[in-house]
This record gives sequence, C-alpha cells and structure tokens, in this order.
Amino acid sequence: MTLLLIVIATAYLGFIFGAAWYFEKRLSNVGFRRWMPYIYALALAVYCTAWTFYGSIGRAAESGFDFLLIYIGPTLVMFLWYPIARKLYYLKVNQGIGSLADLLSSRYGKDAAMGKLVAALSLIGVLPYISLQIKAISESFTTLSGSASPINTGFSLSDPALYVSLIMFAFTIFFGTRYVQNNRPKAGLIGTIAFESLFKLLAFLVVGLIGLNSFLRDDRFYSALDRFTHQSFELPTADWASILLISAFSFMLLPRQFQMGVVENTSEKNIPKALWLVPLYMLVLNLLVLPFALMGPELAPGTKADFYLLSLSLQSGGPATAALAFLGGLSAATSMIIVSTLALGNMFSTHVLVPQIVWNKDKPLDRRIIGLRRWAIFGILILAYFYYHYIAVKESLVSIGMVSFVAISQFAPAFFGALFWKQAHRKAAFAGIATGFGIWFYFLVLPEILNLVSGDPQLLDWASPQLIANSMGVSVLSAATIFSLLVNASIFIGWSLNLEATQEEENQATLFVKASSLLSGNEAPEIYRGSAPFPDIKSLLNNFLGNERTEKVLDRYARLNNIDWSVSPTADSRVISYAERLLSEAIGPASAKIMISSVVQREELSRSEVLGILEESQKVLRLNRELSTRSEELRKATEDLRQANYKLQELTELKDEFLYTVTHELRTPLTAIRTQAELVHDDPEMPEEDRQRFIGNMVQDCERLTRLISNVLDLEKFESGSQKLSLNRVDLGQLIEDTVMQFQALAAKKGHSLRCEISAPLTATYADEDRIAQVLHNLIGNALKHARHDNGAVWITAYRLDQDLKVNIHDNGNGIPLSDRELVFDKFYQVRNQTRRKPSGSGLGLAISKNIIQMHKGKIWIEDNPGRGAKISFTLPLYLQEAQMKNSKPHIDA
Amino acid sequence: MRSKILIVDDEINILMSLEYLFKRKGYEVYIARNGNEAKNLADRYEPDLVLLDIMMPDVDGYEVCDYLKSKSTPPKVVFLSAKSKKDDVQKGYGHGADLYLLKPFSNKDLLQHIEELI
Repeated sequence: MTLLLIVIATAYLGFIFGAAWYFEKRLSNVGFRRWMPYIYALALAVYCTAWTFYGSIGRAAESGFDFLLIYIGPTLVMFLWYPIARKLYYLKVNQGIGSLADLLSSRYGKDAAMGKLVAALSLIGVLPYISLQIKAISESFTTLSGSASPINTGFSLSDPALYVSLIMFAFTIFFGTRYVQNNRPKAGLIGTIAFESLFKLLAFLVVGLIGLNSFLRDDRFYSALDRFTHQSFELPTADWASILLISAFSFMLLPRQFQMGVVENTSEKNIPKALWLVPLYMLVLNLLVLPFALMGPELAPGTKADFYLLSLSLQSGGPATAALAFLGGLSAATSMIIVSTLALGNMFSTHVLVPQIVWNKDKPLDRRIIGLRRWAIFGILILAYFYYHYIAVKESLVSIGMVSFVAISQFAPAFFGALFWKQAHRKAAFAGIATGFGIWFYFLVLPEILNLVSGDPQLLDWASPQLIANSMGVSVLSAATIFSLLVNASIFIGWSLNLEATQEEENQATLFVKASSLLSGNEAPEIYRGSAPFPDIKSLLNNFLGNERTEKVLDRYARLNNIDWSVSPTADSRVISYAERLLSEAIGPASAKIMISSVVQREELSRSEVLGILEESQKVLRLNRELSTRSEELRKATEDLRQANYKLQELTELKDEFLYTVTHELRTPLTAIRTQAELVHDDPEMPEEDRQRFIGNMVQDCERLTRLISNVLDLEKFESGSQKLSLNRVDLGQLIEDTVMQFQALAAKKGHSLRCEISAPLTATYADEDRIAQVLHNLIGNALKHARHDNGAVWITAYRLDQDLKVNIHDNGNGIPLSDRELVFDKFYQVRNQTRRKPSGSGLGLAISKNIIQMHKGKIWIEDNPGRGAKISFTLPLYLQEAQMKNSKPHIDA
Repeated sequence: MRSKILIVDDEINILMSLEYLFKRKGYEVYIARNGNEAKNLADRYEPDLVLLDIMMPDVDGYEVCDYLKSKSTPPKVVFLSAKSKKDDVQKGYGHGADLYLLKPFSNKDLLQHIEELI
C-alpha cells in the first residue's frame, strides 16, 4: 500500500504540472475563453480544502449538521458577490491591486504601514492553516499505509509531506511567479486549481457513492441513522451565527480566496456563473458527508474521526477506492497550499521585503522582485512545514481552520469600509484591525501557547477565554468572534467618524467607493495634476518592469492615446497615473507612490477640483451605463465611434500631410520664378537673349503653379463631395478618339507613337463629358511621360465588358512596381514616397481621375502587365437612361 | 584661383538660373540634373561647395551628401530644399550638411551664405 500511495501521489503531482503547462499555453485562446466562467467558479472552490475532505466528516460525527454552516456562509456571500466582485475586478485592473494588502493599502491613502499590517497578520493567521494541509497529507498517508506518524518520530527525511511541500514550492514559483505584475492572471495556475477542484469533487462523489452503496446493505447504517435523527444537537444562536459570519468573511478575504476571486479573475463576465455554481458545488460536495459520519464509529471505531473517509472507503471499496480518496484529499490540500503560499508570498514580499530594495537604482529590479517573492514563498512553506512538525500536533482539522477564519475576519470591517464607506479612515481601520487581532490572539492563540509552555491553559485566571465564554454560554470560538469583531468594528466606525482624511486618502476613497461607475471605463479619472520628464518616468519603469515590457506598455499607451514620446518629452498627469498603476502592479501601491513622487512634481488639486473631476466622469459614465442596458448596441456604437475617431485622426494626419505636400509642390516652381525674377531684376546689363529666356521660363513656371492650384482645388471639391457631375449623353468612343487626336502633336514631338483601338459598337452613356476628358488627358499625358525615351509607344484599347466599357491605356515604359499599385492613386504619391522623385506632373492627376471614375460608378486600377510597361484600366457602366446611373450603387474601391 | 561650385537639382529652370547667377559672380560652375551625375562631377572636378536638392529621381540628396562628405577632401554642402518640416532640416544637418536653405530663397541671401562658407 505504501508503495502504491507513493507512486500514485507522485503520478498525480506530475500530472498537475502537465495540466498547468497545458493551461498555461491554452487559456488565452479565444476558444477557451467561453469556459472561463466555469473555470473561475471552480477556482473559487479552492475554499474547500483537505478540511472539507476529511474534517467535515469528523465534525459531523462530533456535532451533527453544524459543519454545513461553513458552506452556507459562502453560499450567502454569493447573493452579494456580484457587485463586490465586479468592483474588486475594476479596482484590480485600474489600480494595480494584487492582494488584499494592496487593496487596503491603496484605499487608505496608499499607506505603507497598512500594507505591512495586512501582510503580517494574514501570514500569522493563515500559516497554521497551511500547516494543517501538510498535516492532512501526512496523516492520510500514514492512516492508509499503516506506517508510523512522522510527527511522533520527529523530523524525518522519510516524511512524504516534506516532499509534497517541496514539489508545491516548485509548482508555485514556476506557475505563480512568472510575471513581475502581481495582478496579472496566471493561466497555468487558474487552470490547475480549477482542475483540482473538479478532481476532488469527482473523487469525493465516486468514493462516497461506493461507500453509500455498501452502507445501504448494512443494518447498522439504519440504526445509526435512527439514532442520529433522534439525537438533538443544540447549538447556541451565537455559535452558529458566528460560524456563518466568519466563513462568509473568509470566503472573500482569505488570501487564497482573494487570489482566485479577484487577482486571477480574467473578466467581470466570469462572475455571474459563479453565483450559482459555487453554492451548487458545495452542496454536492457535502451530500455524502453524513453517511460516513454515521458509519465511522461503527466500522472504524479506532480511527480518528477526520479519517473515517479513508478507513471506510478502504473497507467498502478496497485499496483502489481508498487511493482515490487519498488523491482527492491530496488535490484539495495541494491547491490550498499553492494558492495560499502564493498569495501570502506576494503580500509579504511586496509590502515587507520590496520596500527595502526599491531605492537601489543601480540595476534593474524586476528579476530581483520576482526573486524576493520566491524567497518569501519558500520561507512561508518552510515555516508552515515546521509549524506542522512541532506545533500542530493535536488539533483536529476543523478547529485550526476556524481559528484562521476568525483571524482573517478581522479585515472585514476595513474591507467593507474601503469599498462602500467614503468616510472610512486609515487610522481607524488600522486600529480596528490591530485591536481585533489582539483579541483574537488573546482568546484563541495565547491559551495554546501557555498550554505548550506550561501545560496549563488556565493561567489567565478569571480573565481566561474559557471562563468568559462559559459565562456567556457560548464556545470560545464564538466569544472570540463576537468580541474581536465588535471591538474592531466599533473602533473603526467610531473613530472614522471623528477623523479628517488627507487629500490622498480622500481621492482614493472616492475612487474606491464609486469604483463601479468611475472605473468601468478603460482608464481611471485623472485626479492628480503634475508632470515629470518622460525619460525619468521611463527609467523608473525600466527599473521595475524590465526594458522589454516597459517598451511594450509605453508603446501601447502611446498608440492608444496618440502620443509621440520623442516630441512630448514631458509626461503629463495621465501618463504619470498610468505609470504609477504599472509600478503598483509590481511593487504595491505604497512603494509605487513613493517611487513616482521621487520624480514627479505633483500639484495638489483642491478638494472641490477633485470632486468636480469625479462628478464629471461619473456623469459621463452614468450616461454610458444607461446605454449599456442594450450592451450589444453600445459595443457596436463604441466600435463605430472608435472607427470614426481613427478615421478623424487619419484625416487630420492626411490633411497635415496634404498641406505639407501642397506647400512643398508650390515651393518648387516658386523658387524657379523668384530666382529668375531676381536675376532679371538685379541685372540691368543682362543680354536681351538671356532676359527673354528667363522671362519665358517664368511664364512656364507660373502656368505650372496655376495648374497645380486648380488641381488642388478640383481634388478638394471631389473629396468634400461638393463636386457635382453634369450628366449628358456622351459617346465615349468618340471622346477617346478626340482626346488621342489632341495628343498626337505632343507624341510626335517626343517621337512616340500613339494609337487607339476601339472595338465596342455602342459606347454611349450618361456621363460628365468634361470630367471624363480630364481623366483621359491625365492618363494619356502620364503614359506619354512614362513611355520609353526612344521608340516610345502608347496605345489605348476600349471594348465592352458586360454592361461596362473597359478602357486600357498602355505604355512601354518601366511599368509600376506591384507595391505601388494602390499608392499611385493617392494624392502626391511622389512626395509621400519621400526623397525619390519621378518625372510626373503635379502628382494629383491620378487621384483626381480616381475620384471622377468613382463618381461615375466605375473602377480604375493598375492592371498586371509584367515586363511590358504600365497598363492603367478603367471601366464605366454604359447606361441607356440617365436615371439608371443615379440609382446604381457606386464602386467604393478601385 | 576661382572657387568651384557644383549645383545639383532636377528642376531645369532652377538649375539654369543658379548657374547663371554664380557664373556672373565669377565662380567656376558645374551642374548636375541627378544624383549619379553629381557624384561623377564631384569626383572629376573636386568642387569647393555643392548646392544640393534633396528630392531627385534616382539617388536622393541625402545619399549624395553622404558620398561627398566621405571624400578625402569633402566639399561644403548646402541643401536647397522645399522640404520644410523641422525633421527634414534636422535630417539634413544629420547627414553632415553645412547649411540647409529652404526654397524659395533670395539670390542675395544665397550668395552671402556661400561667400561666408568658402
């Protein structure tokens, strides 16, 4: 059995590494994304640990149904989870929140002390709980294998839990600390945790049903059931209310829950499914607890109640079933260990270790930050391991878990205040948490310590927790819960009411409380004013995020916001806020604030200004939200708007480019005119012959200028749509022949041949004759310019193609490169092609021609004509009636 | 000895009038209509100064400038260009030009700048 257990445990751990690797690669796929809500819900079930697996049965055997309270708490939370989780999701994304410590630190004025407090207390509260999981692994192993418990034999290298811990460490650092940003979802981790949740559920169901099947054939089951139903389990109201409350709080605030529910959440869309899936999961998982609790004392009287599941499954289903139960417990324990140590390691390194190194500006810190995180995780696992070995000897699984629950619940008042109460104050929150923890310590930890040290938990005399609890008629756990939370909340609320918040804190408070409306957009509203040299900001980011990622995020930001860093050397407040958020993801809000303020001169905004900005963005967002009831429409509208915006930006750029090129084109003839005019003007002695030549040239240049200007105006008219066609019945064949005639003289002068061949019988249509003539002029003129210098030839062919007339203009020049075939129809193609000039008129001819042809619902393009010069073709529809043309759809592209 | 000037521009009217202008002022003037011609003439006549357009059909002005400045006794280079953006000007100086003049310019200014450079 021992060997079998070792083999299957090793195989299982190997398998989850494989699973993580698989998910790491897959989870970002679109196809996978529709599974994300289910994966998210399953990941939340990390709540169910080995304690659920083994401890529930133990607890049910001892005190009946009250184990269910631990799952009813979270079920109740699910009723309120949507607005909370959504708000937390926005905050995570927009404020770079990677843990509960980040959240509270950020909300309470980006306070470093708050972060440290939360990190340290979480560690103290949860460490024993992690130990418990290690203990569960170890004990389940010894229970099944029958070997001696390693706890009794002292530290030993043969303890399987040691190896499981080390493997968990490897897993956590490998799949949990890949990125320097704390708040970035880690696909391999999420997938694996979800898988483990599914696995432990199925394992429990299979084992449970096999067990139930054999119990139902056993008379003892019915008598135990009968006894159970007649037994009364009296539980004081205060007790069950306390358990309900702390399990509800813990479901939200335990480091592993916050990690899976907030930090690893990939989208707010994941949340709704969890609202019913999580309670369903817990219901199913707990269905079969009772039969085992009933049969345990009958069938396995010597076994600890926590391990009835193992013993009974061995009896009812043999080694294979028992091994499955063992694996289920292992999966529950490992997922808890992985996520808890990761979350605690992140918190502890971010808030306690990282602030010690952030001023080291000599070398990049991103790798070191990850390194610190890994050391923290390692330290926590080692601590947990030794805690299990030397201290957590005799507690049952449930009791230590509940002690952790009470500890974690101390964050609840400050947490809810952070999200929903603007007046909640840093000092009050700090004091409330600290006092609550003090009381927790006094009630639930101190007696254990005294017991360990002196063997007498009653040393506290009349003030001993046990006596206080007895006098109230409740359990110590309830007394601790009631006292700690009452005092905590009273200090928090009472003092908050009497304190004035700092500017920073008030800003954050507003942002957090109104997060759902303020942050649901892409970017947080800007509530700081200030500026910094961009290179400073960049080197800061470089230092913490690494060069590659810094380049990437800044690039993306620049593209989204249309910024060119090389021309805007000063980072404005939006950039600064963005940078602070990025830093916050890596080093936590408090350190990020300090680092940012080291390079930024921040101008404080007055209170009313801040409120103004927030109100403003809220108003806009409220409008947005009204629209979002028809979210599909909204998304489409947003997309359209974005498109329009791009188009506008593009148009503005084109306009600038156009202006630049027009002035450029104007400068060239102007230069010639000016130089020559000055020559003539400054030199009265100039020979008459030269004078005539220069004046002649100037006239030519002036004509060129005029042509250019009228072309520009033409094009402008076409593009603005103010150009109207004057349609008449035109014989296109005749028009082509006439135009060719007009060019014969020029062709002859150049020594080129110019021919045309029209093979369509009917070529009349409704068109604007002058405009079509303009197109022909442009195209034939270009062709003559581009034909070979010697033996140049240009020929035009025209024929019917379906309902169109197709006209081709060929020349025997060098042709047009494939890559330029679209570009040549752009305005000023030559200039945009930068420094090379080609011999061709204004650069506007083809752009104008394209406009004219398109207005006639035709197409114009460069035809493929490899190695045989250029061939430009256009088509014009042949209409018999004027109305036909007006009704038909235009061709949009050429 | 007379100073030698090479003028490079693909706009024939500008080329002719500048040639006329500098000849009248007593310079020895060579003209080129494109980049390759400019390189050949520069190798053959070793001009003291080159007036250089940027946008030309074959080899552009930047490339010609690089070529000239890599010679053992590089001539002074003055860009005459219609490219008016700040980037254009910076790019011109980046290629080692001694002066960047924006078209159109006045003949008087041009002459004065050239005299200062030679």
